[in-house]
Amino acid sequence: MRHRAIDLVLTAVTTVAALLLSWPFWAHFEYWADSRALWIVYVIIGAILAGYVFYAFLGALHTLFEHDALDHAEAREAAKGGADTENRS
Amino acid sequence: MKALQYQTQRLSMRFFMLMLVLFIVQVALGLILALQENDPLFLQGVLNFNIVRADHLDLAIDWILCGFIGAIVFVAPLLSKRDFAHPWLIKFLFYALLVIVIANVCTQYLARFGIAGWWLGQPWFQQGREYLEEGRAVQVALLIGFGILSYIVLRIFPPRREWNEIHWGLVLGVLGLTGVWVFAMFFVARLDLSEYFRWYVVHYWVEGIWEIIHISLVGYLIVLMFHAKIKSVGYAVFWGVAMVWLSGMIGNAHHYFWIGTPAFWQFWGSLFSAFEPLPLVFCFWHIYLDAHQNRKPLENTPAFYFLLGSVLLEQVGAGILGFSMTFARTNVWSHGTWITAGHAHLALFGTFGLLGIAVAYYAVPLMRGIKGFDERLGQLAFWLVLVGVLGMAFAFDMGGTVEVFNYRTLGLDWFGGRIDPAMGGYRVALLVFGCVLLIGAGLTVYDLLTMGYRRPSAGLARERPDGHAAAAIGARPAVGWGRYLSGFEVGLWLLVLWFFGGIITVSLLAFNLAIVRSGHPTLPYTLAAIGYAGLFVATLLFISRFLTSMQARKRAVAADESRDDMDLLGEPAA
Repeated sequence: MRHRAIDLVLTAVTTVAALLLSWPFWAHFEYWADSRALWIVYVIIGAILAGYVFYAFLGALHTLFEHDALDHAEAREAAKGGADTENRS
Repeated sequence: MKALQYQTQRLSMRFFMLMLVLFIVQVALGLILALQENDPLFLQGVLNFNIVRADHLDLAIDWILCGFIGAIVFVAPLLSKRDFAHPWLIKFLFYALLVIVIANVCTQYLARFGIAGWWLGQPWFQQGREYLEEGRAVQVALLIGFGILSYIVLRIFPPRREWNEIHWGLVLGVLGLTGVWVFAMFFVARLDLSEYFRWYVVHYWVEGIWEIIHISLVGYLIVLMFHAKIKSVGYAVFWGVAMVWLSGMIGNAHHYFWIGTPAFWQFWGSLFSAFEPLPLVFCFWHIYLDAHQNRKPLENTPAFYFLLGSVLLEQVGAGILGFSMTFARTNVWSHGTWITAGHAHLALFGTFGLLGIAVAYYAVPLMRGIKGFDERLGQLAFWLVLVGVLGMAFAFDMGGTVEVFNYRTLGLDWFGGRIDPAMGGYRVALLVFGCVLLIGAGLTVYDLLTMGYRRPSAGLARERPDGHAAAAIGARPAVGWGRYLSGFEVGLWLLVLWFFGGIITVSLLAFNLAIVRSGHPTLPYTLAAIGYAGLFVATLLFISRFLTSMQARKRAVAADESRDDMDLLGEPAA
């Protein structure tokens, strides 16, 4: 839960920063594809998609580290098992 | 050292050798360009700047493709656990590639005389579109070549139900090489529409498809070098590829900013390409974690040096420098200046070129049956190449900052002789670091071409057959710069790199300020100097720290062995 909260906050901060950096101040809203109504759509969809990409990145990174921790634990167990066998023999 | 498992893997050797020859020609062409930057009259009328530049851009693609094909031919039998069914087809592919490269280089020269080879409404010799300079004949031949490569890979791979993520990555890669290349041949009269398709190739082909091949090859190389679990690596490959496309599909729009497209592309292009470095950060972590699964010594140091260089320069060149100029507000200044060239050299050569060399360093000793080759020359070559290309990027980026202020902000004429003196120092620096790169490239090529044919050096003769230096007996556990590299420290290093990347981004944003546009460049100049110098020095230090810690494993193993030897002799351990 704590992880998820941190991830969501990080995602929100990053998405807002990316939106601010990306805003083209020379938008003129002159024709349909650049109308104000469509700009609102672009910003909303853009924010959702961008937020998803960053959130997915954080989730995948967590899993990558979890896999690594599991692999290390397995390697430790294997080494321990090997040492026990050697001691018994 | 492992042995070669499948005889048809040897077919990759010819591609690696061609890659090395093209690499040295490519660097030599770059040096000619650097000389012409300093003296525009150099070779004027013989090899004009625009011709050399076109060849330089085309060869950048050609030599890296040779490395990719060589790497795929080398790993495909390992992934399939069998030999190629049609070795003759791979030999044919090689000779076809050789003819294509020669034809491509030679036909660019015709541009000087205005000969494009128009026939049936198509430019068959050269079409003069930046990055897609080659004529239709070469493009069609390349399409057929990529089709053959796809067939070769699909033919050797096991049934689809047995594929893991690396199989999928390589199959998507070779099919994408073929499919997306079709857009290179879209030539329409409307320039803005034509530019869309040109950028499909430059972005989706290079930044998308090549990236998939890169991630897959790096993943498999990590499996081969560190015996990492294919399941863990496969997970990283899957998410690396997924994120490349999640961010890069719309991120391609950062190329649409100034080609006459609606303004919303500036917003979407900026927003999504801001997230394009994420797969690169992800992949760097996967390399770090898998290389630290155990503390076994490196079996092939130069291969890992170049592999790490590839992954880290991808982070710095494609990730950080790409991020800094990807926003419409920064790109409006940096677009088409030397700043772009700095990014391109690290992102293209650094990422993909170094990977080809890394695979060659892994494969060539196996194919020649060399056990315990002298790794010092390869290590020296790596450092020279790294310093050379980072120095060139610094010269490009700082020169580009001066160029932006004089050319874009003050509006001085490029050909008016005022910008030239302002950028003069950086032109000289470009030449100097270009020479360093040429020496490094020469050593790399010499080392790989003559590996196994040279007399072993005295230093190597003293080493044990298992590759552990006898001189290391009595060595102490690694401390200081060579101590174990923890994940926390790697995180700090990445933060430092991105901190300087942030400064670089602000330096470009500063050109939007009224005070700068009224003729005061102090702020962007200062920020650029801190940002670029800090980024490249930190990159060098980080690579040095990473590699020293990896090298220390060898000494630690030797020290453990010496302790064991002394225990057996009944002597106290040191």
